[in-house]
Amino acid sequence: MIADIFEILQYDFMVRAFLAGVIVSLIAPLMGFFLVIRKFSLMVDTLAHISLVGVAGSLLFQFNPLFGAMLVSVGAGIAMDRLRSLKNIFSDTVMAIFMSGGLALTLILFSLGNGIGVNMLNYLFGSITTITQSEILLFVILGIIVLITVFLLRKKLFLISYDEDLAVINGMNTKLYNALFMLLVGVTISLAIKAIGALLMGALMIIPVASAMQLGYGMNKTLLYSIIFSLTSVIAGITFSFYLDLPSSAVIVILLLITFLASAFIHRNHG
Amino acid sequence: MKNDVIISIKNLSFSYNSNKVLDDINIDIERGAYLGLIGPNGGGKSTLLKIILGLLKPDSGRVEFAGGVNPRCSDDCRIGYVPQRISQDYQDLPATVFDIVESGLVAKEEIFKLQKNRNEVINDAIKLAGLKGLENKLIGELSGGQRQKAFVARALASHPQILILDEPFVGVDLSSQDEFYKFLRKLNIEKGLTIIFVSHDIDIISAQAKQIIALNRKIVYTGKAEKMNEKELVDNIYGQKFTHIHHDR
Repeated sequence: MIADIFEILQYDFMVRAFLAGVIVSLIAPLMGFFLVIRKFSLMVDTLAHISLVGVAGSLLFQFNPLFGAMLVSVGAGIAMDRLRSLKNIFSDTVMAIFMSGGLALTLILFSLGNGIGVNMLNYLFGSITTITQSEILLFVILGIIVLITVFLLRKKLFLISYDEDLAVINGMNTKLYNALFMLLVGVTISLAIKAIGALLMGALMIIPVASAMQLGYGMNKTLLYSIIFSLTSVIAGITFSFYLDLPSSAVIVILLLITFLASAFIHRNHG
Repeated sequence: MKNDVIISIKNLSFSYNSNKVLDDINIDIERGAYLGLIGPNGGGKSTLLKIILGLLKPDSGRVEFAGGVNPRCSDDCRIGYVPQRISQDYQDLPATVFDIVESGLVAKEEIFKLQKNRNEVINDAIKLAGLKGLENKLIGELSGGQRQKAFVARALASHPQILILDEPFVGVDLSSQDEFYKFLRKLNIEKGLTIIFVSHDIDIISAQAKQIIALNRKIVYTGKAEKMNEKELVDNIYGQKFTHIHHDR
């Protein structure tokens, strides 16, 4: 497979696809890990669907869809987290309200914009090979910022995710950290939407974490294995899809599912 | 505030919407107390703990700690907290005993300036809780009693003056409970830790605590634990007549 990758790398668009894929596969499971601990996995799908509002809006008003997706998903993420913390409304109800509202708005913008349909499909199902030179620069800069921030804050984010009360008791500014976390999730989703698509986003952020958790390790090793599963699935997925002429996002998700089944099998037989 | 008092609760009231769950509560908790908080469901036990911990704000009244009003993180009055439902809620958490105990330190640490000797502090807390050798075990692989101890070790890592436990034994077997109470008493006597625990189980409270606060919206009783065997007092706490059947443990 290594030789195949080198052959593919002769094409500029594939180099950009691999680079974007590596960055997304590093940060997506990192953010997914903390969402799983918060028992908030479905938020990924909700935010991915809502970010389509930003994509449709930016295609309609002709600015970069990555910025549109980022703006909407960060704003919606922070609003959803605030509503969740009020504790007088169930988390899944909050997500249902935002998801249906987001899809309704997307549909309205979609019908207002003639000819944005083809571009919208790229964001619904992902199109990693169409990532442009200017977009890749944004991927690298934002990806590195997310990676470093999460690495430095991982232990604080872990505490807030599994026992927010203790964080408050010990004097942590949980509102600030939760807002920062939602900002990082929003940025990650807006980058991943072009690579994997809004409809398959949950797979890239959640399945590697679910697979790693089957292996029965602590926080650091679970994070490490999540990234390894995600990275290998994305690189192999892009390579296979090139040779088999299949949609890369779909192949990546199938490989992630195979990884999950394998780790669940290991857990069942050796756990 | 008297010198030997570590927490003083004054004229405290709290309502959820229009439902008053705490009505003019006044309590002084002495330094080194081993105190059980008992009462019926909805009697305000957990609400009172949440107010002491700063998770809820009272409608009126206040909580004073040694050294001033609400210095929750001061050296003189650090609070360690062990939450409810540990056995159920943390079964699948991808965290080792070390991860859990370490998380008791991270909230107060600066990002670029970690506490000196932090591994030593964590390992000392694990050792004190009798979990040496289990540092790398997943929290979900421990027995109910060991899991409780891991969360006490998390609290101990920040060197608290007060340890608060909310219904520590839901879902934990009886033999683990007995061993755990011995461990708590040891912390109270040898380390001078002020311990406050909530339970709805009269037998546990009367057998384990030195002092009792019985709460049913108002303070129904404060005093020695032995009195909890008096039928009239129990009827008074729960607001209705009971037949008390005692099981030997």
